[in-house]
Amino acid sequence: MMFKILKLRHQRGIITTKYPAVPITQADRCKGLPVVIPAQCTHCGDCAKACPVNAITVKTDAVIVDAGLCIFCAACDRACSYAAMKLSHEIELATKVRDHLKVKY
Amino acid sequence: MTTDMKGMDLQGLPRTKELVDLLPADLKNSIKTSSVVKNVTTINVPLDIFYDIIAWIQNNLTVDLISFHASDEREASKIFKLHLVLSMIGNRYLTITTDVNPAKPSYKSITPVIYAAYWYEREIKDFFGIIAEGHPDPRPLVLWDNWPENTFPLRKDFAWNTKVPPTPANFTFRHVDGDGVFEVSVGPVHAGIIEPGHFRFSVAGEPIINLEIRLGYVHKGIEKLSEQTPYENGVYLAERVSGDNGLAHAVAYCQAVENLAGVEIPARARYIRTVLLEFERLYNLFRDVAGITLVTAFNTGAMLAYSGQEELMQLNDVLTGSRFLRGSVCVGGVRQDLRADDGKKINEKIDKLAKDLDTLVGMVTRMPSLLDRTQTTGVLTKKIAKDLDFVGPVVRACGIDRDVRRDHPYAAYGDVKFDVVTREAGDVHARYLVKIGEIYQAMKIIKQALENMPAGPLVVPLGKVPEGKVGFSLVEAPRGEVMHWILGGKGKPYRHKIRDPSFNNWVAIEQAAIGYLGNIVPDFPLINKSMNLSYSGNDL
Repeated sequence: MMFKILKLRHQRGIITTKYPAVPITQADRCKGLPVVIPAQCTHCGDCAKACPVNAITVKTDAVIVDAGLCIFCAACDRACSYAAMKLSHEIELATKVRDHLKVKY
Repeated sequence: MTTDMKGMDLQGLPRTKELVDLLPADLKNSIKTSSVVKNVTTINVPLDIFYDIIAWIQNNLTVDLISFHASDEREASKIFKLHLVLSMIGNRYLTITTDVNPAKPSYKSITPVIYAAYWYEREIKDFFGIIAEGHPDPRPLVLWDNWPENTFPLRKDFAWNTKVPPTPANFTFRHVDGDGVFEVSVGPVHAGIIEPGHFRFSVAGEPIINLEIRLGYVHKGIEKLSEQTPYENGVYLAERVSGDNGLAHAVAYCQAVENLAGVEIPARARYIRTVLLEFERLYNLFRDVAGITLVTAFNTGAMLAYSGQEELMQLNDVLTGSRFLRGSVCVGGVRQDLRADDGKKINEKIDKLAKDLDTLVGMVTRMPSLLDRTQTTGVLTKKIAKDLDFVGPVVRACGIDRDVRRDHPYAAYGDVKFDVVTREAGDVHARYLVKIGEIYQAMKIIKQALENMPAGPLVVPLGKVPEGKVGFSLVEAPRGEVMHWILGGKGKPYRHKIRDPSFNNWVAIEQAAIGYLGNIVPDFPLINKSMNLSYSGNDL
């Protein structure tokens, strides 16, 4: 029996991979953590207004996205007139400290 | 003419004549106002003939209860208003409204004529404190046991962020007495990580004599929250009413707002909505079929269907960026277009899954262990299903031909050809076959919609949404009819009523567990899986 399984594995190769070691490739349209391109951002606040859960805080020198509140709906992406806000492919957001969920750009 | 008009096709009648002229003279003369907008007739009647007019309509016309709810209009016109929404033959709706004086908030219960109003009237009492006089079962339904008395959360004088002090109270369950009759209580915490609900079985040995279900443990106040949410953000709230039927809720919300604003969405958006809605149906039904197969201990077959569900959800992710199809529609259209190669991907996946399903169907149709377990289990009779207005696959498995996609077409369902799958037996097996049949139909619809997909814009601007008007829409979700009913306010709903199919069908589980042919306790998981209802959708 054992031999049969080894033989099968040899024939087919490895199909499953261990998750953290080999990261998953996300689909093109994957909605992950919103990221800001600071060079294009004018701090107009449209994204913060569009956000249905108030996860975005816009200051004169920074944009803070709270990943703990974000529902990944991409409303900010649509609201931004300067293409400065995009939903990235970053989905591994778990942290041990709640404040680390707040990402500053 | 008035003696037997059941089944009469109202499509042949002129619009104004539709209903008002059919009524007997005494009822007709006491109607305060009546109006016809598109296919919705709205009549406002005095409180004292509210019961009589409903009794006449129920006895003389073929109507289905869509919703019965109240709204607090004390600010504008110093009244509570009751709204009874009925669906009629020929894509017609009838709304009967009546004004209730806040000084004496009560009316004559309509449950004795429309049995399906049983839960709605209890819900109105919990939310608004409007009492149905003569209701056979006036216990609380929706709110939690330690909710304080005389605190009515959907009244306008109750702020949405009020914290209420817990006031312990006892809920009395129906009690069955007799030698050897025991009560088995299950929940609200269940073995799997599922949602909370309390089930109280009365059993004599193994046979179930009675089942009573107590829900409301995850009541989230979505209707109240929606009254604070602007229309453009309401979609996100609607998507979260019931996780796996999220898109159906989102589309129902969008359509209700679009009806209210009187906008037509572009043809391409209608087709994309249809494709996505059918995708939601597909992955839900694959999971339901897998669930029933698994409970009958046929694991090989179940895994085949579960893998189908996973493949579909991964395809959802590729198409929209969300496994649950969230954020794919918006008020006025859809958010994302399908790309050039998406059609090919979808067609390939559907062809593969159709073959997988053929394999499963080939295995299960003659499998004695599965047939033995599912046939004659959890039988619902046609009469019960009709009287209590069950919806979705549950009602179609009882031989009732009812499907919103055909009866009240929305999105692009008017342009595609499909069959409404029905079975007569009303047992778990019939529901299993209906669900399998609906998977094939959904695949057929997706293929047609992709083939005939028109080009064009995706969104139209919403314009001004009028205040004080009503817009509502029905969508056939995988579990049955979803209804969103919106009374317009200032840029947000003044009153938003949501009715999830689970609200209708939890009563079906109570009835099916007792069963026409009798069931034993081990049948219950199978009956439960065959309907696979949402707790979250019920506990809005």
